[in-house]
Amino acid sequence: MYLKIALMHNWELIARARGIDVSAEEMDRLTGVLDALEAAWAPLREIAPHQTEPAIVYRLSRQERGA
Amino acid sequence: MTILEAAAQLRGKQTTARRLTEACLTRIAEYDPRVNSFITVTGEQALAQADAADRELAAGQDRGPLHGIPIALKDVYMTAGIRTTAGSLLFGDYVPETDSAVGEKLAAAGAVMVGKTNLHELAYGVTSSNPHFGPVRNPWDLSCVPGGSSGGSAAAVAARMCFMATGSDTGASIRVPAAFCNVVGLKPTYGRVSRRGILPLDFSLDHMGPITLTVRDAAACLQAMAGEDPLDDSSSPEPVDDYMPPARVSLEGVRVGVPENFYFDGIDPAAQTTTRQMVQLAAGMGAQVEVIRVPDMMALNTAARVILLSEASAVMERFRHRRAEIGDDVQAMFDQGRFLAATDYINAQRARRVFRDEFLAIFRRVDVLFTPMSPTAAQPIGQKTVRIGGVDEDFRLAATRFARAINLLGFPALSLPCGFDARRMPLGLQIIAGPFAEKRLLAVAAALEDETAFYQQEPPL
Repeated sequence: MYLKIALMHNWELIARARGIDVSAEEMDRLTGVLDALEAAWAPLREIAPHQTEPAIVYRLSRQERGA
Repeated sequence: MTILEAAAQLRGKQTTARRLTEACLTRIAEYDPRVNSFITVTGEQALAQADAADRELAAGQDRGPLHGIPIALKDVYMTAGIRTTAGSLLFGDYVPETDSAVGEKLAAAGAVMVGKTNLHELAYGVTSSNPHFGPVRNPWDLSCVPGGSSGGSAAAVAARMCFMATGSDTGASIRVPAAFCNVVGLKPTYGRVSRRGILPLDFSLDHMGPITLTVRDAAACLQAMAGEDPLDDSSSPEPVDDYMPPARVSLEGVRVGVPENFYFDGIDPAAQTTTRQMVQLAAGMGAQVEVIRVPDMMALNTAARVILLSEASAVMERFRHRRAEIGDDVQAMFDQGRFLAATDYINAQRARRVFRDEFLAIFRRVDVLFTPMSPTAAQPIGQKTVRIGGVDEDFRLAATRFARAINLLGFPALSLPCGFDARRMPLGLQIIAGPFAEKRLLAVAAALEDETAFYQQEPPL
């Protein structure tokens, strides 16, 4: 179990700042879902130790030298 | 009839690939107007492939157990010259020039493709109630969903319209439809089966695998589908095992972990009972059952949601001006993903390594985990919430509650039919194993299936 700390977000302002073009009705529907996700995610943001790298694949091989 | 039974009949000259294919096409013609599991049926091409398979077998060229077996591909698998829609208007006219890696492998194994299966729009949802191609209906009760996103694949196999259909699983999409339709769904280890040539919903959570009637059929299909693909960065060089379980499987000494927390909270009593019965069955067959405590699974589910929402929205960013062509539920999730910060995505991918290490520790103590596949069986089409234990819950989140975290881990998991609820709707047992332990996973599942044989029960179409 992780300590739960959540900050309230103003999703409407975030939508405007990021150019997310949703209607007022859609915004109403999104707000509850985003608040719930934020509340669940906030305490998990920092659980990985500092040196942990993300689990994203990017692989190079010798064949890709272009030689 | 199973794949292995059909394969034996083909070699014993009791049937032909053409007859098997004609039988599947006849069932599609008879039942699919009600089930709606196919978007495209490739009848003529299938019969030509079947004839070629028959000629090869007659000439002594045997490609293995899938040779001459009618199968279907979920309509996110690219097919050269055949429309591949992803269940979306965005790809309504898309005809790829190449096949998916899995499609190439299945063709090389001699499989006969009878068509492309319907799905939740863009493989992004759990109902398969597709607004553009119509809802897929559960063969066990046509008023209910088959699960999703690979709902057409599970329904088609359950209705005996094909012997196997492929699925893709980003958060439950092979396993939950399999459970809802009384068939076997296998999500292999991430990297075990190539993702090349699949219209992507996501990069790091997408897994490709088979949906079949039986465990041994799934093993035969995985054998054909697995292997390193140098053209897929996520593909693994781990050697491919011989996946086929022996005729008699012993569970003597197999360590089965049963979670004491999370998986049995807030579930339908039938899901509880059927899962516990499978645990007892395994114990009676010699397995060592150990009650274990799993990490905070809601934390894993949350990290998986952050990754999925972010990646799916990134993939679909180029379609952001075509909102009117996307269903409301799917569009809402694309919108949610656009609100997430890049730092959230990166930190979810970092948290993933922490969770993986916690689970690897569990798999040093046990060989497999048994859990319910979902808290409830299939629900009526159009129902957005489900009431479990007096609590109303969003059906999408409830149905994926026990599945999503396993995509984050990338570990292999299989849904095995394990019984029915009070409405006689099917339920599944989820069996989870450590990375690349598909051989053990399939063996354990086969041992249970040999005793229960739920696949022999057919839907009342």
